[in-house]
Amino acid sequence: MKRRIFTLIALLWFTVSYAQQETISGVVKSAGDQAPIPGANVLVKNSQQGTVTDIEGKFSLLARQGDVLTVSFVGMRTQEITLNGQSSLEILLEVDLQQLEEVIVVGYGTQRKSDVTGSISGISGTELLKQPALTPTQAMQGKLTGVQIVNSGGPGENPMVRVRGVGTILGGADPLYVVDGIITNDIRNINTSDIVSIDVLKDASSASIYGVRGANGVILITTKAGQKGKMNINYDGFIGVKTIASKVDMADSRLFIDYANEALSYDNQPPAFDDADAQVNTDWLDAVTRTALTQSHNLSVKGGNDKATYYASLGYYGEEGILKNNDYERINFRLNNTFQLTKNIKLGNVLGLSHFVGNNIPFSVFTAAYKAAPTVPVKDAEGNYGFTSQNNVGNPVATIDHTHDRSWGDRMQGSLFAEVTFLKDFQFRTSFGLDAIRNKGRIYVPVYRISDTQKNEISVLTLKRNNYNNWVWDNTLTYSKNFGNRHSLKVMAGTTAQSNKNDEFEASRQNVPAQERYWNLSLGDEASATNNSKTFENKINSYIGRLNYSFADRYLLTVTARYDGSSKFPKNNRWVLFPSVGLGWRLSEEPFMQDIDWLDNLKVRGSWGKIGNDNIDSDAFLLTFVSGLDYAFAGGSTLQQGATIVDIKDLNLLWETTYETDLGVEFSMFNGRITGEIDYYHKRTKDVLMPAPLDAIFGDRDNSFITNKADILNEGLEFALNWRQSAPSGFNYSVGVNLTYNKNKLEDIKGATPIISGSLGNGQVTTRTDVGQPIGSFWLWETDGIFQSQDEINAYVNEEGGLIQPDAKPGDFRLKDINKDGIIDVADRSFSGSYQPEFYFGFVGSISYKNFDLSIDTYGNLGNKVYNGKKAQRFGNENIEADLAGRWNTTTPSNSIPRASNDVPLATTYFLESGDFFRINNITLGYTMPASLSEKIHVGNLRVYASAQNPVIFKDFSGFTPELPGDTRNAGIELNAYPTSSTYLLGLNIGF
Amino acid sequence: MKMKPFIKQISYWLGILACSWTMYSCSESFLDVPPQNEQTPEDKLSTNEAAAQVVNAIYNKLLDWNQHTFAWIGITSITSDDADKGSVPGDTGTDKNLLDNFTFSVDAVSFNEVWVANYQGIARANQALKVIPDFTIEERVKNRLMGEARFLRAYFYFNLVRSFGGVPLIEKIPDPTNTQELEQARTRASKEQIYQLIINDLQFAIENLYPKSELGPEDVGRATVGAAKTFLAKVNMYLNNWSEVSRLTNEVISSGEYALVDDYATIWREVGENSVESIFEVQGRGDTPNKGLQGYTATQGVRGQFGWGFNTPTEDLANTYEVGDTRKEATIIFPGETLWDGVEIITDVPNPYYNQKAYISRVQETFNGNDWESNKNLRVFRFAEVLLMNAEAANELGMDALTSLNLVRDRAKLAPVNETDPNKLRKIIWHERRVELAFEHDRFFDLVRQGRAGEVLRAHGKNFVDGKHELFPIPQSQINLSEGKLLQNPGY
Repeated sequence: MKRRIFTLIALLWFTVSYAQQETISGVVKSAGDQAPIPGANVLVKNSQQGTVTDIEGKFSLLARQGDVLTVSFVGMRTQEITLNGQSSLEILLEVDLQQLEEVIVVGYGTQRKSDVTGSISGISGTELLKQPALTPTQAMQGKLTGVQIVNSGGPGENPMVRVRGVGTILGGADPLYVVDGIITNDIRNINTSDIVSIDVLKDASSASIYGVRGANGVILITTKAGQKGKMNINYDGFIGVKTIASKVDMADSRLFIDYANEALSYDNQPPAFDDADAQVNTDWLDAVTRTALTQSHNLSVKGGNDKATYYASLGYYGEEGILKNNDYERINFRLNNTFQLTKNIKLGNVLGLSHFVGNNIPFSVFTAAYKAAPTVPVKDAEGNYGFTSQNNVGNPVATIDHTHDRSWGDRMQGSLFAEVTFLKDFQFRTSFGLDAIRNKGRIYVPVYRISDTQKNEISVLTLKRNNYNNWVWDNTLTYSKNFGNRHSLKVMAGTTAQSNKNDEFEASRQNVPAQERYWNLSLGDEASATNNSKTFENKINSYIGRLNYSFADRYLLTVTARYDGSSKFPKNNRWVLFPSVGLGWRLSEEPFMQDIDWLDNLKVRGSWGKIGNDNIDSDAFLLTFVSGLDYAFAGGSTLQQGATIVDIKDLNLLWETTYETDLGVEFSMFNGRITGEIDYYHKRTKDVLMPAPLDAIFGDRDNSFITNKADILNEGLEFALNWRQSAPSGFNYSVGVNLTYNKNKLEDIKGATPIISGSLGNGQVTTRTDVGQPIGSFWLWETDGIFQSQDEINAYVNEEGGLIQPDAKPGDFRLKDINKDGIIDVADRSFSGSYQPEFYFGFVGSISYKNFDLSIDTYGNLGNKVYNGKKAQRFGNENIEADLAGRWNTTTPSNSIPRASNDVPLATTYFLESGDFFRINNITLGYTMPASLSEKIHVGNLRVYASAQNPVIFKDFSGFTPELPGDTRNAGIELNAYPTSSTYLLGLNIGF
Repeated sequence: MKMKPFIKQISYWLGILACSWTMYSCSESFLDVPPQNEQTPEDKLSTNEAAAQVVNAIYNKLLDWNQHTFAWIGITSITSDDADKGSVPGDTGTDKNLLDNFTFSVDAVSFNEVWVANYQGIARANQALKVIPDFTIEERVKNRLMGEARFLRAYFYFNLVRSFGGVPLIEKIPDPTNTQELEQARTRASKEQIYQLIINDLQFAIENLYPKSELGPEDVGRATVGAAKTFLAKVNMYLNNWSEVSRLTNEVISSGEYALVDDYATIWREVGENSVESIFEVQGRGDTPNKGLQGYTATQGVRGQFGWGFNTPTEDLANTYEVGDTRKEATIIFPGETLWDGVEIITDVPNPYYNQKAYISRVQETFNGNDWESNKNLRVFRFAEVLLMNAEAANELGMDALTSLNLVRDRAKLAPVNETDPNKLRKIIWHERRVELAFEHDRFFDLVRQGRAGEVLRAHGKNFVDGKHELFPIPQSQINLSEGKLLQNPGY
């Protein structure tokens, strides 16, 4: 058997390499000044064989007669030369706005980038692959303006993505994802290796084609297709290790004991710890974390002919968390085909299958590891888990060991499409997409007893099943026509319908045996069975239209409209039109600019449009009977159903509407060496959902009802500049910078209730969403030094001579009496900053010299605040950070660190820290084997690389990570957050 | 034959196809997605089972965290001389320390919780009263259900009027868009108006509820005519209508439906649920699916062993029992002791005593690991209180008080009282109420009713101010929401 496979492989090799190859040499020059072009790429088309020109612009490579050579260089128009007997070539490359000819996906169609009048940022699949991660969005961080990515460090976690600021409070703030036309909100099933490009529709003019779902921005993902030519096999993969990027220096046992006993002494309590406790000194963070393995392997094959093309791939992604027992694995399969049935009819499909398994550990383990007393051993001499009854922190290692929480999922996402061209200028396209997700969850809580408070007395097995079925059917008719040679017109009209169905099922039983193989409900106690199911459904039907007109490639007009009907809104209120208009002027095409040689392109553009956000629960406007309000009569033995109306609702609820104006400039100079784009946007969202308060007399369940109340303004500037240069020595480099400024403000709430949020779970809240402030602003008492003595407390008096802080003790914070009413109360809280950065930016750079390439990506943000929630969430006798050695006490006064205390700390500015950070996201060093060598081993191309992800971070924040995703009101709080990790990996890319 | 669904599918898709190209007339039906997880009022009310369900939903409110748990424990018990805040000094339970020593302000969250909870209950009762008349069910059952809704509404108002005095009187769910209605709904009615509503509701309940003996076994725990009479007697006691108290308690006593159980300690155990002594209890279910009083046992459980350790008996209460009073052991958990179920209480605890009436046995009672919603029933009215109200009324009316009083004492293994001086006897009855009903959410209101809350609580070291603290403050947040229509109680 083995031999046969070997023979087969040998045959394959033979086939691939069988053909008469000869050495082709040549020189590449610039058509303008006849100067040689070093560093130009010369490739044998569809083979991955190729080389790079030397200092004199010369090249040589092996090819066959009839092969097509592709010669490309930055800023030049790519040329294809079919070998027709020549063995020596002189190739003249023309200067071209190659950059501008780029075609981008705009939603229900494509457009030349040069014709675009809206603001769209794009990134190529190659660029995404540089930062290995679960989702392509993680790899987009720092690369695009107007797109803020906040990563969670946990394996299998979705990053938080905000396009041009936060434009909602209670609705979903995530962008809309469109994968090959299929609308979704989760792209964790997409293998980054399968992606050609991602385009982000940022302004209303480009996003209005997605109407009521476009307001948070739209991320369009296009997966790879096959292409005509020989079969092409590619492998790329990497393997690496991850470690925690920054640790927090915690107190050792000695310091902890001193602090805890000192805190108790202020409450006249006896010491809880003695010197014997200092014999143990556990580093709990070490105990719960590990050096983790991460790897990815992808194999793809593509090819095709005039009748059909194919792209197929198989991928594996495996990521261990730095948290022990926490991991995520995914397998992907993709098959994308096109079939040219007749000259006028083309059929095609995209199909992605994926499967994942995740082992989940609660992130609160990180908080527990932070708080656990170092005097407690992980396990004692007898092998029992250590604990102390002096605080309420459970043994975090025991928590990990007793957590059995696994999730699985299968997903099929794909579409079939047909394109018919007729009457020369018309194209009809119909596409039917399906997205089916089958997720499972299993949680087993075993019986255990670590201590009186960390225990579980009866085992429970819970199984979950979630099914999502989503179809979307798009029909578009496009008419494109050039009139004369100056007028160009493209009109698209279409319909789309979409249905989302989702059902959830959950069941549990107690006393299921502890061995994993028995984790079936049938083995549990029948009397303890619980089960529950729910279904959700929403539908959208829409009519779309777009008109593109350009005159002489100079004056550009785009008019877009979408008429959306959504089942999420009341019948009399469910249809709405989202129009937009965009104008562009390519000054560089004007006759009067033709003399400016160095200017390749200059375009100014402006747009206005309306977009919506319908990301709310389906029944939000309906009065319904709530079931489950049951009551068990006869001492609990006869459970009877109860149901009633408990919520007051707004029966005329509307979507949120964003009106956005965008002004932009795009330019390209010196043969594309310098390119740049600057945008200003003004994005006002109206009818934003907020809870309006209700007096308790209405008896509403949560004393409020959701209604369209608030106005939000996001205003910002985006700036991107890139420079690329190829030097004669074969030394190429490029640098780029992008910067986004965004100002978020809640402008009006029209009597709605400001939302107080950011709960730490110990009675303290930290954020308030209110007029005049960014959404989710920190709202805290401001500290003003520390009372050094009782005299200072006695001297802090109001006008009547009463003590402002009568309960304070020396060593406590003096709090500012902001409203000067002589007492410290809730009215003295003030806004202290927001988790939303004013600026976020990235610097990217790359150098290549001959066969080596080096690139660096960085990311940072400025002007935001983060709250050290884990430090603030005290109940008593938790561990402390090492710098609390410098705390206030009578012998060593301090004016910055308060006395030891076991009181629940107030939400003060003491716990608020700068969120500014700057991080090297990625450094990669690669080596590509010279063609002469790779040919010898029958390989088209071979590149090896080493990458360091997040190797260096500069931050002010003392915690584990300044990247703290959360919902609109609760982000920026480090509590149960997954620390950022650094990854070091080796990768291989090989093509046949 | 699966033909029909298939044809249905086909026509559905054809419909969509047609819809895609004609304008939206038919996409309207495509977009009509009715609610699937909660029923619309039309659908719900079309079945007669819903009549009982809307009433059961009012009972369900009795289990909520904000109804009988932390806030209610705080304002009815921790405020009194029976209970300390408990737990550890740093764990304030948000404002329980302030309730303990009467340093709370108008912002203390417990008041708002109690206010909100009882109005939520009132809304559920009003919802039931609105829809029940339209059901076509047996008239007697319909009236019983109406009676239960009114009994429960009276209960919510009684909690409010004792806590806050006159409050807004809501008999139907107000329309927030009707400004006149809204303004009226935001204005406090007088204390007398609220009591009148309570009396009317209970009178209706007495006329329409079933006697305890006529309830089916599956309905044990529903309000009964005996419960309504006991409740009305208690309301009249707060109004000093002693002849009514006497009449109603005599009716309950002579109904023959109730008696004292022999062993006081068993009343709060599972075996004591809905006993012969029980008149009205909130029913907890400790089996899956749990429907218990949320957090009631956990908040009061022995700290470090079972729970948070709030609402702990005071030294003063422990010392107030007469020698030999069996109720002391039944009411108080002492660290280190072995309880009736064999469970040993740990000694390494921050408080000297814990509330045994909130204790559930994990080894000898129904317990499925869920200590948040446990099997524990809350005893709201029981026969011993009927006897004590009867004794107090008799004493005030110059009739025989000792018979009823001594029944209660006899069960506690105490010698009979022979006191005949009404003033001295009144004090004895009050003391008897204290030890009999300790930790049954009665003490603070009882002290206020007796007109000696200031005297007793100040002696206990609390900052009680006469003329102010007899009522709790109207929650400031509610005053703000009412746009100033709600007026604050004196002194705040």
